[in-house]
Amino acid sequence: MEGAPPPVTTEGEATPEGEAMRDGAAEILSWAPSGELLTRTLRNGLLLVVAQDRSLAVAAIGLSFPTGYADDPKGQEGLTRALALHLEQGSRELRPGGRLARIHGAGGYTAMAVGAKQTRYEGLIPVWSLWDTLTDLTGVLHNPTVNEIRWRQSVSRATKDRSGVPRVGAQSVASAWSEPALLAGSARSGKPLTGLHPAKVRAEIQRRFAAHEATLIVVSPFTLEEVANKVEALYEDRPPRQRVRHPPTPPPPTVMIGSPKGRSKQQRFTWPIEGSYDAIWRARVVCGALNRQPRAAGEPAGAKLKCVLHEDPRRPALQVSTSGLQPSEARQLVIERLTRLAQDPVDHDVVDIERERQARALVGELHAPLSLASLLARALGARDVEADGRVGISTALDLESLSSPTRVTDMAGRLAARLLEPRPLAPPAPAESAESADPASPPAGPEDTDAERSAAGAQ
Amino acid sequence: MNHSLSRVILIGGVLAWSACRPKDTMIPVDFETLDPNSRAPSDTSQAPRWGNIQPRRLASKASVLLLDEPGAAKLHLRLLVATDPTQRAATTMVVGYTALHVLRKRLELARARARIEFGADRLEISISGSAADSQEIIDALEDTFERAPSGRQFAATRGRLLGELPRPDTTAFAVAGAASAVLGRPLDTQLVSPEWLKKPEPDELAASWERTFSPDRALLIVHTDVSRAELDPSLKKFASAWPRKVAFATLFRGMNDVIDIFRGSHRRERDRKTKASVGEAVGQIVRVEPPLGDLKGRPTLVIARTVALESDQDRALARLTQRHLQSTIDARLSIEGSKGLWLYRLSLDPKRPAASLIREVARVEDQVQRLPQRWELEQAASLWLGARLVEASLNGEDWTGLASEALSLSDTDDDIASSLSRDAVLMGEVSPEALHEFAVAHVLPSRDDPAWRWVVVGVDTQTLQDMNTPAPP
Repeated sequence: MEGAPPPVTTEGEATPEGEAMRDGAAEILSWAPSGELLTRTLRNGLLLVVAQDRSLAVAAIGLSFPTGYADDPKGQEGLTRALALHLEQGSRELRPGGRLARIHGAGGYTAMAVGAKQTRYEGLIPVWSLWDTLTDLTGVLHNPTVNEIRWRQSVSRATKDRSGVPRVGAQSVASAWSEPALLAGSARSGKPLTGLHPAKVRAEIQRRFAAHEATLIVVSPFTLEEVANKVEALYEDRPPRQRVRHPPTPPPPTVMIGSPKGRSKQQRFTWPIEGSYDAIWRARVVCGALNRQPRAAGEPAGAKLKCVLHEDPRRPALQVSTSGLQPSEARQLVIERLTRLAQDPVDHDVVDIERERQARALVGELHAPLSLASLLARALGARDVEADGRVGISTALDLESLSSPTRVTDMAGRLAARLLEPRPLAPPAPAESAESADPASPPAGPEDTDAERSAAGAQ
Repeated sequence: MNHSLSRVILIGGVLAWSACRPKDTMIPVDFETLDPNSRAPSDTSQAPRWGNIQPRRLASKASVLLLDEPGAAKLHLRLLVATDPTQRAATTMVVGYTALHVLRKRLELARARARIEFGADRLEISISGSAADSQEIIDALEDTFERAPSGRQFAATRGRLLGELPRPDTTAFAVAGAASAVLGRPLDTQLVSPEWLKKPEPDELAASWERTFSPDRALLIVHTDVSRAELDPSLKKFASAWPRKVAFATLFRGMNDVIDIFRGSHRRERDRKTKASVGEAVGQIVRVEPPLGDLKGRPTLVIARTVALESDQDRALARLTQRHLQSTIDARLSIEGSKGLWLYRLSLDPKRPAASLIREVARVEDQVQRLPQRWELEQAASLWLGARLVEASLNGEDWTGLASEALSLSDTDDDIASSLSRDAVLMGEVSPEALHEFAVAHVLPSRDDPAWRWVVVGVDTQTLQDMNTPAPP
């Protein structure tokens, strides 16, 4: 990206106490590209987002659909993954694997990810193969090759593919979100899927991978209009459809508490987090700060605490694990640690260091085409931009708000509040249980939304 | 580190592999002037918009190449040092990794990432971090080379490498043996094994450090938003703080261009003083024995020769030939100055190696003698040109790697800015007939041609005799 603005300095700005302060994270985020995004809703309902990156003659593509393994019917777990893989089985114009072969033949890179409620295709190619790649992508979406043999191959690949299992455990995420369907992320049922009739497979592809729900991101060295016009031409013969938006689902105001079987001194606290990019970014900061937070005087010796974030773009969850403590002590420790992050000025330094670290990582992502496309596909795929036209990258990703330290500490406070409030525990997901629910239960507080903020502020 | 180790276990092999990576890009032009409808790599600008870049000498005699990208939020540094081709590969490896470990320790606060790569004629240490931490990163680099590490630091690195270095396999030995025979250098200049890793004495390592990292053998490539990061003052400090005693001050005397450090005739001069470990039996298959124990892997034969590549056209033709052949057989090329090292690696049937030798050699001959189609050449060029750019982008939009490639393709400092594009254009101009003619004339293996060396690893004496017995008509 070229033409970054001069560094924004916060030096000299007055704090409420009247002290001059310099916010490191805000300064680092000022290195974000100053370029714009061009968003255009095509006549078939596809949301197209175009960005320019002129550093190298490469182009990145990100295509996201608001469907994932949580949409798999019971008994057909793995269907979304199999359908997503089936799109590589060719089209009317392409032989099976032809799209991938063309990308690899041009020296490019491509990947596919299936999340709870989002499926994404990403790729990085030299610019001279951009239009071929986009044409191929359109072809497999409109006229995929579907027959029994190819479908069996796709199911077989999906069954063997073990990626996408949540880092924090499917059971915990499903319980925290109170959505048993999230357990499907780690399940694969090959046999029921192979029996699907090709017509049904085609219908499922058309239903789940529909353009009017999809978001296409293109980052290239070319001008925004040039790319937008060419992509629009690729879809001009498609029937018109009304764009369907999929705003983030507010997470339930719950927290899941459990412990691995036979390990009573290990406790796990899992909070659902709003499936928006900014909430996930703040959760990263909270999680990183918890992992780097120094012990306070009087904390039980031998107590350990570790935070892990499950970064599904639509169903994220934050999990804190403790060891070496009785359940009641563990809860108390987690509450104290989160409260310190929220309120203690000493711990605010830890938060600031982590904010800077995450800001660095984010700015790095924004300056490379593939990571920018991937980030936009995750961020805008879950939260459509409001209107067509040009919008600054910083505005689209709400970087100004991200750099606010109080929003991070507010989140830590709200997570602690959920453990304090006498509300019921998230019900455990019905299947299995590697974790047993804590009978004396926690709370609920609103999630990382405006409503939540007001509730947190009220306490 | 394991990942890096797998790339450096065999300096000779890396040397060959480095040529298997895509190497070319194109003219720096404004992207907005491009034709977005173009589908041909040679019609498209592939080089970064780095303008007319030229290396310049610092006060310390080190050279610096600044790649300015307005708005860049990262700082990429790449320190290139010319390595001594007659030095033991194990010594180069210990010295290089010691520098990397010291640097990584000093970079902890700056949260930057450092990596090392070994090439045919150089060692490259690259650092990537946030432009906001430019000063800290430059300071860390400066501190690393302010003084030579202690014997203890060298010993720690050697111990770590011994713990992680996998034993060389048959392929590693065969490639190193063939490179040794062809280049006339000892086997230990081409290969690192645990046994050889133990050999260098502390004094030898310290002397090698002084020689390797003396400023007049070094080029620092910097890619960032130079004006915004205010790198110039930092570099001035770096230059003045690195005025160590130049151990080999006369090594590059009289050479004005940085390029000469990496492609000078001094290499040929020094090569005359060394001797290959592998015999010179013309037309005979020679076996390379490992110093200790058996090797893992299938019996492997490597056929190698050097090819004179005097002009840009020759080098582009050789690269395209290698890339075209590589789609069907294991053909490798490494270009050092105006000389190319060409290798074929043949994996033999463990049960009937002698019989499979005839079959595998025939397969290579068939491929070399086949007249390629135009589309095959376009596809080979497109793959390599594209992969180069994509790799640079995936590595955090690091232009320093591209600049290092540009340096490899240049004859003078003036060529560096446009060498990537020139090479790509030359590649696009190669006709199937020209490629076929080159392949048949220079890279068609023959037992009768003394330029070719045949090295096998992983066979017993009887099999070796069978291989050297002419097949009945």
